[in-house]
Amino acid sequence: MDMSKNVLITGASSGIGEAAARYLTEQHYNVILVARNEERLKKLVNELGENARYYIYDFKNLDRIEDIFIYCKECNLMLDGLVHCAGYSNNLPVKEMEPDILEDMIDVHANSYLMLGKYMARKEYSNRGASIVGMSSMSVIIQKRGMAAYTGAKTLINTYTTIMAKEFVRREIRVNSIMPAYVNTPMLQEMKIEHENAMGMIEPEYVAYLIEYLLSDKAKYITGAHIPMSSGMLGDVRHIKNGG
Amino acid sequence: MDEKTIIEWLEDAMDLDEGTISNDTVLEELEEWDSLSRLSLMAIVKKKVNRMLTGNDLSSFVTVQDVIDFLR
Repeated sequence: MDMSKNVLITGASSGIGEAAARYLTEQHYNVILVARNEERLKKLVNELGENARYYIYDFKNLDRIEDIFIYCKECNLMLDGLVHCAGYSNNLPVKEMEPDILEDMIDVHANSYLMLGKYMARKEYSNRGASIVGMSSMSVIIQKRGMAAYTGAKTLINTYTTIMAKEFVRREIRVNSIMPAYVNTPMLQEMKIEHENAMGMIEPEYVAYLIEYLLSDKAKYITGAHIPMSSGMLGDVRHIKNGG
Repeated sequence: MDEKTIIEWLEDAMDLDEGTISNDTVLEELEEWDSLSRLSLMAIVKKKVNRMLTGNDLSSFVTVQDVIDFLR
């Protein structure tokens, strides 16, 4: 009997989601990868082998999220984990904000997380004791100009984490979020901004290590936590690594 | 509405395994029959049969059978 855990990963075609997919398959998890870009997902799944499969979905649409879970069920995969990494940045001063930009940002990051949680909580789709990990951000703590929509969405991820943790405790489903500082992902490279991590840019696999820990039974007592991964981005600390 | 379906709704609202409760189960004796479960039952009933359960309705339910009688 196959005892590996089945984990759904969103935003899995690049960045933290991709790193999680790679590390989790290495650690013998079965993964179901969700993202918009079929080409990249297909390539990644081929690379990861038989313990990986994919489903195409765009989280700007909240109406068909259950289809992802129906797909998992059809594959006979009762879920043990959900890792929500889907997201993007769109830095914009408030005076340039538009309703559709704000709405998409909140939907893709946060509202989709809650809707994924809704189905994850159901006994037809998940095993008792499953674990949910949401990707929040250090920007929730160190708030920056130009990042209102992104930071608002990431703040909501922490709020939803707390409330889902409380509501899902009856099935011993744990819910936690991770707040990384600047991570070396295509998203950040696109932003062309300098990071402020005093201990250096975070490589995505280091976020994946924490994700794996939170999914594992080693973390069985941890729920409702918002875990910072600051890499020294603590407000007034500067780049000690580069000459301190 | 058949009673099997209503029992399923109650089990769903309380996150109980199938077959955990029966008609004569006393709701107040279930740890899971809390305010969250009541909200959940209200939402299920609204969605499935478009009926609004009030707080008074909910307080009047002693056993599972009371819920069945009320909804049938």
